[in-house]
Amino acid sequence: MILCNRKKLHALQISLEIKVYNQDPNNAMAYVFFALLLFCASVMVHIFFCRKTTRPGLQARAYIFIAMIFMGVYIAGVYAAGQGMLLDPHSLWGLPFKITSGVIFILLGPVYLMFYALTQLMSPSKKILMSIGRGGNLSRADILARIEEEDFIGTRLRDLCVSGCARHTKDRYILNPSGQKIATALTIMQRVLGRDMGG
Amino acid sequence: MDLLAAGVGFVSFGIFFIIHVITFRWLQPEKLLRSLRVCVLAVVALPLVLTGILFVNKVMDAPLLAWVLASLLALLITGLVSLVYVLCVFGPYETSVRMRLVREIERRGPEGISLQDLLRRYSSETIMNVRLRRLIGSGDIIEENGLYRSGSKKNFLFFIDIIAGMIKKWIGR
Repeated sequence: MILCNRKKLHALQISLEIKVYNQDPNNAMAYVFFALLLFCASVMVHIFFCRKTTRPGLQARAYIFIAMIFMGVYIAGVYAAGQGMLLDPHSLWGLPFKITSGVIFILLGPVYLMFYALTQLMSPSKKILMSIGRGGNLSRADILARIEEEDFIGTRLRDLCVSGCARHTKDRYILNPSGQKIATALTIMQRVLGRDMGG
Repeated sequence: MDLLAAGVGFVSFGIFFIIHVITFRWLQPEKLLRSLRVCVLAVVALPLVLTGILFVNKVMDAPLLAWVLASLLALLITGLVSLVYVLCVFGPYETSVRMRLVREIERRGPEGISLQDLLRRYSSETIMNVRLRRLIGSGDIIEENGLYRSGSKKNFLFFIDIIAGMIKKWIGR
């Protein structure tokens, strides 16, 4: 009898939740919009920071710090919405997408950072495409001249030394412990992917 | 439903990763970009199929609209995780000059490698040859009588370059 009543109560609860949810379906997306809004705000703050800073080079760490602050804002906002009943959580059984929106916010960070890094770097593929786009028909020798002009190997070797991954002593390049860790990670990746060395 | 959407997103990426690890082992560089595009597009449809199966099996009591939203968010998560994997993990492994240099230095052990030895194994010509094979295979450039010209103007690199250009303009340096 009690079990039957509980089942009825549960069914009534679900039907009420669905009913209220159907009356205000926009609430379901409130967290998604909140996360996207905070991501846009974090990008804007980072761009503002990059415009104002006098420090040279990539400001990737600054973005990670800004994104972490905004992630905190998101968590606080979600908690406040739950505490203050701002979004009526009982109307959204299983919804609203709090965790999903948080995951989307976290995933958008590295995507932005990759695009941001590309503003400061020239890749060989991009150089080839740009050269062919501007110069029309090019021979192998022409393309090689453009690639050599950019000195991809020299600049990358210098970057590795500046970042502390490698050192240049007695005309030889030697890996530092941080470079060794990267090399180990790449070896593991090669075993998993089963592909030749990239580059 | 919240966890279900995130879970379906990550499970779909897991399936993409397994397919990618199995099939890309024997893939030649010239087929890499095209295969990656096809693979990502095919796998993006997976969250829709998975949530459809869960909906038909009535795994959870939720209105239809909630299922539709969950499948779209799962799709977004799969797309983003795939993009992060391609841009931040697989892309640098396959194409980064720095990563290749780290491995070339590592091969020689603690005594290191001289620039001359390094250039014998990995030079500007090697960089060019690998990229030309890849770009010709993807149709981004066309080779005719030993001359190279643009194939498709709306390629993936072009799209990435537009977004990077916009960010550069906003940053102002």
